[in-house]
Amino acid sequence: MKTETLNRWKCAGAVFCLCILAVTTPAHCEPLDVDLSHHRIAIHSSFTGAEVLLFGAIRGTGGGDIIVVLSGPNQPVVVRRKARMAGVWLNRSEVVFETAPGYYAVGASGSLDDILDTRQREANRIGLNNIKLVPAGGVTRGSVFNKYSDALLRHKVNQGLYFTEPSPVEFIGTNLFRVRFNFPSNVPPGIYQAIAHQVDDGEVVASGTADLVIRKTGMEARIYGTAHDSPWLYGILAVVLALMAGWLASAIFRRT
Amino acid sequence: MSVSIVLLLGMGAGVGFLSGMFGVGGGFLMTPLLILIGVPPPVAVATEANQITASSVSGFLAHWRRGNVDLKMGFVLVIFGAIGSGLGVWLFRKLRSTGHIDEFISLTFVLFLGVVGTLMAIESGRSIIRRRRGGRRERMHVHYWVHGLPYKMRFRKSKLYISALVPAGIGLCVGIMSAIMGVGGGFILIPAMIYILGMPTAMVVGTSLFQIIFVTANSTLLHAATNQTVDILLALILLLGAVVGAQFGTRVGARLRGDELRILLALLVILVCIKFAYDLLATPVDVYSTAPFIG
Repeated sequence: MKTETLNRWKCAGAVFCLCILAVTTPAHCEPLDVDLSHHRIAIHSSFTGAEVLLFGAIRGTGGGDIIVVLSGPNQPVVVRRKARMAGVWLNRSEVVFETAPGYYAVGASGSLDDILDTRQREANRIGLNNIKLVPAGGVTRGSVFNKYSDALLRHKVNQGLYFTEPSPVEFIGTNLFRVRFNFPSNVPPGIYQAIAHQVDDGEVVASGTADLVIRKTGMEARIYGTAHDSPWLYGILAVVLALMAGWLASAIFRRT
Repeated sequence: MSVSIVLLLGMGAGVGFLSGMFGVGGGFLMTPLLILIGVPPPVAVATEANQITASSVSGFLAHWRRGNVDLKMGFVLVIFGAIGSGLGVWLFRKLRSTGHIDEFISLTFVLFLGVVGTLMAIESGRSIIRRRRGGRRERMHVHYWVHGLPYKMRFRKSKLYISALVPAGIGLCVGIMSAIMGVGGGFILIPAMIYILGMPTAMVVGTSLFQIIFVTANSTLLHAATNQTVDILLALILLLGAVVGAQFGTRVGARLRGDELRILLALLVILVCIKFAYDLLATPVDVYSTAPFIG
């Protein structure tokens, strides 16, 4: 529960930052109506992934482009590099990233390059290369750091949690739009936020957000919760279960 | 992480079959297999300790009914085993926070499996050759430096009068190994009890299982409390397969000769060792790895 409240604060922070961004953006940025097909996703024992549809209506008479960023809970991540030592490959150096989104996907109605320029994409954190990765210790630039952040992005893409290509945003009629996002089975639980931007002539003219909660449910969630909230109790439970299972097995096979 | 239940049951049954056949816990096979199918090494190690507790209980009860347990020896091993596994879990946490735990697990596996496998292969190979030639048997009891140590203690059931330091040292080492490698330590404990302590073979398996129950239970508890890496569901699934497999393994094992069994086990141990060594020595596909950061 504690982490959840924390995440909520982070979300509030993100919205706050967005507001500041909206204020400082030169063009008059208006609210954009968007919503998600699901606001809750339950990870149960046979969870194989999920699909979420974001839909909304653009402002004005039509035209313009849509960019959507859907990202998930920020987590500290460590990237390690192996090197050969006395013939053996060992982890030799590491960079800790204080926050990296557990999930990050972009949807766009065209090529990102054509819709927004590099500076704007950077400011709105749109695209894999503009994800905010904060390394602990403060080293932020340089070729060495880039190798570690590249490795992080590569691994997340391989795990199906980040995407190199944006999902296509489709228009229905002149005003309605929709885009599909896929969550793989290993999606981390937490609070997710979708931010949609309407872009006209290379400027963001309207923005809107929608939230989504992914949580574990069922027996697995209870086991996971106990393991982390009361670790000693969980340990005792594990040992008692093992003793009982061993005794049971012996009793069953003694008869046969 | 999602892994097929059928695969886990099959692995449990396969390892259970071998452990029933050879009379070992099977942790030294199961932990590497779990790592191989993608279970993070720290979770594999802690969960396997939990599973071994269960399988050792059922094995111990069978030996207890036949009166093949030296409780006094068992308690000396247990007390120092508990201290050892406490040390091991502490070391495990240190290594985990510096990011070296995976390599350390692999290195200790290579070292122990390599030494034990080679020694066992040589011993059982000689025994087979001797039997073919029809030579005489070796002496049961060998006296050397360990029997000159102080703090002597009498172990009636094992017909031994030796220094308590020897079982204490063995218990300590096996405790540390159990915590770090996720093994019961049977493949070290059994040779140590036969060759170093000189215990009668009939007492060895039951007594080692007695010690393994306590040491792995202690490791499980400490891993759960300090590292949160025990997966009860995974342990229970593995156990289910292992219990059934072990029953069949015991029957097949009863048909083979002792030295034939030992040389097969030695070859298996060496094979696992080679796999670990290869992974450490071969150039990795990706020199970078990502993991959640634990502060």
